[in-house]
Amino acid sequence: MKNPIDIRIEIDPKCQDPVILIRTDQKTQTVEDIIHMIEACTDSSYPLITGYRDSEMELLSQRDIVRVYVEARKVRIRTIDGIYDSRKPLSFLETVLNTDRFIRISRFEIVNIRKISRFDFGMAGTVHILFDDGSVSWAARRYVRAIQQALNRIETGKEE
Amino acid sequence: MLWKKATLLGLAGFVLGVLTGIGFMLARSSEGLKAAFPNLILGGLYGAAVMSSSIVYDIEKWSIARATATHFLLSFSLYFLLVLSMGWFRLDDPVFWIVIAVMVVIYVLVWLFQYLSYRRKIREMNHDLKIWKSTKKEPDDR
Repeated sequence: MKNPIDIRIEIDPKCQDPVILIRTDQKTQTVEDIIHMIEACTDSSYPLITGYRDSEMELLSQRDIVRVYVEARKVRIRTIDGIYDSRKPLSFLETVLNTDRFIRISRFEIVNIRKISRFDFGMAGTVHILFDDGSVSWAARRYVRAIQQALNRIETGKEE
Repeated sequence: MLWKKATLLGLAGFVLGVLTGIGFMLARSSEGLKAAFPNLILGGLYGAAVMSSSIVYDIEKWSIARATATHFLLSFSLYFLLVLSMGWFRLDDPVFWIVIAVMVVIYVLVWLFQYLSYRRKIREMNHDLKIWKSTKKEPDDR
């Protein structure tokens, strides 16, 4: 089977910082994924998150994480590819997940604000959050202001 | 954290309850402060219970309706038991019913105000989200 990607490494003493060039005829999803994986590996503000599924460890890109939440005293990571367990507490993950992308919505949950599809507010007065992947969660009212501010930040592009 | 808040609110409620009791005593009763002392303490305890139980609004999983209804039921039942058992009012006293009517109106207004306030915020958030989603360059823009 032919490897779809040809990877070459050139050792150049003049090149102090590594330069990565992707030569392609069009910008496909695979190319996008490669870019994001490289960014995730090199950008310390978006470190990869360790998740476990079926006792196998995987490094998860923050871009793919939808929600991180506590369920039955366990920390779960819901990504676009499925649900993983985390061995780190939610408070630790909160310090690692990038604040441009992630926001706390309750004592039990941190969500990727860019994966939110819409907010819903029923007559009972519960703030529901619907995500692009179809999952639903709820936000504590005391975090609504912070969510509002985060949305304003990404809408106006005032990001770090 | 919630217990600390409940204790502080309870203390404030106790003082408010005692002060309200003194107000009622001056307006309606001719008994001296010494004779009214147990009533004032009970009034204070009622105030403490009502104020400290307002932490139900801080229970994250509870909706506004559930928190308001729970707090109303607690305040109402305590009021009903205390007032009738201590003989502060009789069932045929219009003030007894006026207080209940005022309680109902206040709780409905509390729910309505909170509901409308959060509904407006959620609408703004959906609007912001829609604008951002319509302007972003990539499916999951960074």
